[in-house]
Amino acid sequence: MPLNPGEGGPLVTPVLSNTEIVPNYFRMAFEAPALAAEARPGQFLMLSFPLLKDPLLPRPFAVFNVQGPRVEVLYRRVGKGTGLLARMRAGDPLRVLGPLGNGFRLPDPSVAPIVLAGGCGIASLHLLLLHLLKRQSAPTTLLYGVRFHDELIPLEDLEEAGLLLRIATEDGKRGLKGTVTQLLSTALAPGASSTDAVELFACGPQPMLRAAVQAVKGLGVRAQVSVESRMACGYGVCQGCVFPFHGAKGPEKVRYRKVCTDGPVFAAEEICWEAVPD
Amino acid sequence: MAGIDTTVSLAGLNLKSPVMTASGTCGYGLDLLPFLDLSRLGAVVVKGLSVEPRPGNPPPRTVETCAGMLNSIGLENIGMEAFIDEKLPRLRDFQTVVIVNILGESREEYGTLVDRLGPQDGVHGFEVNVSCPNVKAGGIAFGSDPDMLEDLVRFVRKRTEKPLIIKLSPNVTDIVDMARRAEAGGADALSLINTLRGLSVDAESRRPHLATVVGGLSGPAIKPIALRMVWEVTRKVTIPVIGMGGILSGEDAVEFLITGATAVQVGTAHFRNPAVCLEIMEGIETYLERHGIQDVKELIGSIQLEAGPTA
Repeated sequence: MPLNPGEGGPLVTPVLSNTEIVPNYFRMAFEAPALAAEARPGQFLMLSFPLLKDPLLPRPFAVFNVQGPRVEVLYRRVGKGTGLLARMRAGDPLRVLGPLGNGFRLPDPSVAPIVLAGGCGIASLHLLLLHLLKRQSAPTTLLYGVRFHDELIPLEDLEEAGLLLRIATEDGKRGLKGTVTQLLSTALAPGASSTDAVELFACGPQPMLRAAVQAVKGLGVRAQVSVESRMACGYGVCQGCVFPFHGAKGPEKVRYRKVCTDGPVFAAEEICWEAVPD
Repeated sequence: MAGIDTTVSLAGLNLKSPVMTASGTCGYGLDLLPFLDLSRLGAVVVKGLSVEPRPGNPPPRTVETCAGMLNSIGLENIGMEAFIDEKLPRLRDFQTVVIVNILGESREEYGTLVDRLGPQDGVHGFEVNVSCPNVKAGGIAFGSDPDMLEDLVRFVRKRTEKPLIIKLSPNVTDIVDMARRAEAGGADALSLINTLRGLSVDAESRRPHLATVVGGLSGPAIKPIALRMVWEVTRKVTIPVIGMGGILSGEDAVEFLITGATAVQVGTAHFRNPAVCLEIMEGIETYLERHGIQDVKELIGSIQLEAGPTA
């Protein structure tokens, strides 16, 4: 886990920009050259407020984009921590630890990836999409679902790079009126794909992940999911972020693995979904 | 910084610095390696070990609260044998004091841990977690019953000559009584405080934030309680006290030393900064320099009561 080699602790770096791109969704950039050079799709960072004792703990954010020495995260304003983050301006100090965790395992270039994003799950998939669009010979499809159409993050850059984008909104104002898992069922229907080799990459709310895993079950489609869990440290020591997995001694025996250092990306079939808290 | 003496001695151990890691917040010490050289620390206190591995509690296991957090990890650990085989050989590479935190559900389990770990090269001392329920006594925590606590300390004391630190639980009516009992049982030092039992609930869903409903509160939120307990205990026992509870900075650590602690442990702060111990050590030295103090030991118990409170 190389982090600011030579400096010891996490980087404290000023915010470069922090922009609300659609209501309640912010793109925040800061300079972190070592991190930018290392970060792989699916990895994450812990961000905290070096000058505050409350909120005390750092929060995990996916690496959304990397441009030279700059790293970007995408976050939705939901609670106290992201509320404060949203009020940060250029120059404000941010403590950054990362890159953390294991990212996505990139598929063989001949595979046609289906990427499934629910809501803010797009944050964990954007860098993956950039990589897939560069290296896959088969087309990359993004199935992107949100509750309200105004939550859709603009992805024109990815479309220009050849992304096949299918949208589902629960308010029905863009794309399919419904959920992203309905789009998935269509995409997985016999004959829907020009290639047999399909692999699924998913990130989103727990019910969406469960439904997606259910949908690919029995189809021989490999699925990697990026999961979310409440975590205090991000680097393996608090042991708070565990997720239940099928144990070696049979499916009834659950064993815990850490989302931070063992994940956050896992092969979907390893997770014991019945034991995952809502 | 040249010229400043930062060493302290405690329970027969000579520490380079009064700053130690707190059990359960940096794994077996090795998880901190990407961020700091363990040899710089006063001591490393490893995650609590039981005889057999423990899988821990179901999630969610943590929740942030106001200036603190609740945890209910369930004492997840790899067990004493895996620690001896996989972790201890690597810890021996560092010029630091390694203190093994132990936990059991019966007196005999603590005995087994001390018997097995005590003779190991590289184990410099024990810290006994007495916040575990005694299964044979209907699940009452060892550290919440004075007789049971003293009996446990006596039992463990007989089986090891290595330094014995008892980590006291704050979830008691009279922490001073507990401290005295641990001293009477033969403890070399005390560490306090362990987490305070707390609860957090979501008003909208009416559901608790932790799967086990109740968890242990740590972080700056508990610092005044920890300081008060360190003060009360150090006035009534003769063995040294290691203070902890919400230390984030050098200044926080200095407050514990002034109040009577001989050393400090840093816990929850690791979650926001894995190299925080180095910052705290630097902060202590800066404080000493600023006050023209050559020896950190001069701070211990130097609280000025006569002058009254400062504004």
